[in-house]
Amino acid sequence: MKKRLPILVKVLIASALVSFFLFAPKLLSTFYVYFLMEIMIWGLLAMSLNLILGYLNLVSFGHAAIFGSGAYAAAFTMTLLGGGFWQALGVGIVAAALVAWLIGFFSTRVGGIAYIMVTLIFCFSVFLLAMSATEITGGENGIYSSVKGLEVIRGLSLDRKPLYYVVFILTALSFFLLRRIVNSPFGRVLIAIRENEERVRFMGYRVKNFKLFASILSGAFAGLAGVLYFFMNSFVSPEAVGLPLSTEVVVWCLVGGTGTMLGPIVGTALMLVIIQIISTYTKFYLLFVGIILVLVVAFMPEGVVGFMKNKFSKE
Amino acid sequence: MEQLWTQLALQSINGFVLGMNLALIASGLALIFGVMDVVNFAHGEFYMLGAYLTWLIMQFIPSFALNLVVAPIIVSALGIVILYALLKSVLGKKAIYTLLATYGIGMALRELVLIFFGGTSKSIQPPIETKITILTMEYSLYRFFILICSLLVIVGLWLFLKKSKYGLWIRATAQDHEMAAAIGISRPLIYAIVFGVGSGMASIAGILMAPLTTVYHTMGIDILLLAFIIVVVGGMGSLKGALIASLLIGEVQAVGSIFIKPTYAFILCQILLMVILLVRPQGILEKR
Repeated sequence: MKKRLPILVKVLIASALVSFFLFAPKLLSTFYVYFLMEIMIWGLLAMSLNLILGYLNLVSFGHAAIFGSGAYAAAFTMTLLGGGFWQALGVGIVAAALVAWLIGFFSTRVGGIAYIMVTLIFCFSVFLLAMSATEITGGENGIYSSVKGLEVIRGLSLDRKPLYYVVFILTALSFFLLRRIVNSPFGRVLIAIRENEERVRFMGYRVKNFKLFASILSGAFAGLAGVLYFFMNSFVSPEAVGLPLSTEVVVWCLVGGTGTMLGPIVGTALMLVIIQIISTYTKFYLLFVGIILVLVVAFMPEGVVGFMKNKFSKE
Repeated sequence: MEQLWTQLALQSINGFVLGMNLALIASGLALIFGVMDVVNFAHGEFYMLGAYLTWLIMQFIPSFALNLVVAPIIVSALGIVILYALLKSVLGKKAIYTLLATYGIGMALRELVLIFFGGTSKSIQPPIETKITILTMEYSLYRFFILICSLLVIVGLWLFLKKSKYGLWIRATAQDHEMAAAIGISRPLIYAIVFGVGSGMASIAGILMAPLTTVYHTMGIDILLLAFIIVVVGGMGSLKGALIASLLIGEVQAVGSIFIKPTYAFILCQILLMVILLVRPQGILEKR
């Protein structure tokens, strides 16, 4: 029998978290506000990956390609088409979903390790395109376009503080939307596919379509994260579609615990804080990320949240 | 027009050389996957380490031939040490764990090389600098040397797997883990041999290619991605498929780069992969 936290404690923790995030721009210096935004954006990306990684066991190493496509699409909308906040947001999400569909269409044809390799190869191709199609993407220099003063709604422009709240609201909204999806009948089918694909197929579900649709959904959220990333930095470069990012997202999910709603965002926050601390001492922080990765995989494969959950329910 | 044909001829030879070199890496990857069910993300790093070791040893003893023997042995030994020191605890777990563990190892190796050797790329003098003339164009004889060495290693691997006692054991383990263990084949021994042979072959590929490309710490990643395409196109774990796919990818890369930017040649390979996934998702040799 799984023990649950008393409802009162839950409400207290939730309200403490919400009020912290609400008042953060007043309490913290600019650096930490940006750091929080970063955690939220990367956390959103990790959550989106978790939809297929945690609930379908599809280990996609192509998520950066989708995320970056969203960011690039938002940048194009602003620089080439002169679009505003909502146009950039919409185009970014749709573009990312399309890229997710393309990658998913080919990669879901194979399973297991071949899936991982195919997504990885796609990611590298997108990276190469971003690098070498210099006329469109600006190559290694990327695209810069100021988002300062971009109108969100009438009378509210995208400055530092409003940007923070936009990121916070959209991330929170995505969290609840994703939770809704996971707990819906659709989400149940995904979990069933993860547990026993053959059996679900025999029950008459079109497993391939479910996988593809989940990939597209996950891609849309990744695209949202990409757009927010572009808004935060006013800048996008091939790094946003690179393999290192793809892998990092998988690591964040794994450290936090896949297949749980909180895992990805906890993992992201934890890893970002650790890297922030290590990188003040040495610039070779990737070495330590590699070591942490091996340690987590070897000793805590269920991730931090999964580990806590197990411990909690055992007592 | 004449020019184009000459170029075409030269590039298809280049493609053959590149393909054989890729086969060294891809067949090791396919072998490790076939026997151990592990996709080794650190495989490219053995390629890189081979090249760096060569550069290092050449600083003291300038003999390329010696390197071709010594460096692979060192890298193989390192591979076996890594297997038993770091990978042992994740063997047999879900694919993603072994994959991320090898990825972490690869990342750590790359950073270590960066710390010890610095970020500037190193160059190695080719041991054979003779040029021959093919169809009015000069062609470096060293590329044929790469071709011959790669061929010898591939034939060696084939003979080893088909004719030797250990080869038989390896094939038995690949076919059925449990059964092979039940009749007394030591699994740790087989894993060590397979991982050692695989990493050694990758390092040979790195050593051979080092004089052509320069030696830099991320050289393993670029080649690993091509090897991944090969392994998927050839069919996971199939050695014959990997060999055929290597040659195919080598040709696509080389011939493709006549017409388009070399960076886009990779995208051509990607398109080839997409076609294969549509027609033969189980690999090029597999019938549906």
